[in-house]
Amino acid sequence: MRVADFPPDQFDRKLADSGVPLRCGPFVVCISSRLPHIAAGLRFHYADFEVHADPEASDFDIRLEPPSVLRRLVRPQVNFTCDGRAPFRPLPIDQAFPMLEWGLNWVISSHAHDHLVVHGAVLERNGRALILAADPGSGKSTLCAGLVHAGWRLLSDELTLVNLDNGRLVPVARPISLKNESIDVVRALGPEAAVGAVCYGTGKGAVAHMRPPSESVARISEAAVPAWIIFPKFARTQTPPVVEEVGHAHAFMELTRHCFNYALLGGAAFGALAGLVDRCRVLRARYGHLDQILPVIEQLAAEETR
Amino acid sequence: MTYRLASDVTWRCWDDGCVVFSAATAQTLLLSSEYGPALAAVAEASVTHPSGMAIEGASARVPGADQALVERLFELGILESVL
Repeated sequence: MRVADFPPDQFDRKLADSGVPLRCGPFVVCISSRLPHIAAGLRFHYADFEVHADPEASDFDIRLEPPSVLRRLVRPQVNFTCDGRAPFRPLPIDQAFPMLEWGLNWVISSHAHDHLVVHGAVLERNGRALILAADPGSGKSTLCAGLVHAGWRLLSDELTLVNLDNGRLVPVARPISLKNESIDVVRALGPEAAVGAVCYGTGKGAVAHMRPPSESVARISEAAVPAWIIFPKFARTQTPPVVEEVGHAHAFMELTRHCFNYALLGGAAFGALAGLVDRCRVLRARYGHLDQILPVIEQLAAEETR
Repeated sequence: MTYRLASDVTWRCWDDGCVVFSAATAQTLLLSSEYGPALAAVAEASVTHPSGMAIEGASARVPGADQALVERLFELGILESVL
């Protein structure tokens, strides 16, 4: 049963009472909250996600609630807990849904050590996957949203999970996080780019999320073979775009900076990362507008898929 | 001096360089690709003769793997000496 299959009031009650166990790729995350911000956010962004029948089967128990009774009345806040621990300071209550998304990123990147976890988006076309690895603020998520709108399958906007045994990329498709100007850029792509409510005044500025396409969620169990790695960098003044090859040794070194658990996994991470770059063509792309870079990537994919 | 690859070291070379990882220090180094033949020679000898006793001079038989590079790898902790 999917989130959208529940009548809204029934879903909200389940969320407040026993919690909603959602299948997010290889994980089942049980989310509980009495906050209407969370209920509305889940119903919109996670509409196509499977609700697991057994809450006891959850890998993580996530709760978002006000930290105290007083805080429900005076400058209300929200607290994020995972398995009873609160890794973050409370945030203003209107930031509850962004906090859930940031918290889920933290949960997966801190615990998924049976995978190499890289900070990067993953998209797939014709069975071949593209990784966008970049520092925050590089335009990664905007480019990811643009590619999703162009028909690429979303595996993840934020976390690249590399299977340590076979090198395949494991989907954990969730909403695409957008910030500030990128919100309007993605909205302008068209009505299919389903962008939810904007939350202003967060530590990252204005934040909104784009709902993952139904097809990407339906195929969340299908891993993909890595084929390309791009290090994107948006720079308003970069016209025309510059795309250049990156050698595999230099790509390896750059990717280690983007790994969450490279040092922790040690030799296993080295092997997985070496295998990843072996399989991929690696490029660096600097561009000033989505319209410049999307055709370049489409052409790359078309040429090498023939 | 006789060398062998340090037991906690893993490495890979590509056209644009060699990446060496030490599990002991959790450090990853990027070296120029000219280190490739030296790493290959010592690694091969280390496998053939785990004691390292047969490695002496192995690098000299591989073009490009000169003694200076081997000694630099030793300084970096990628090779260890065998007494």
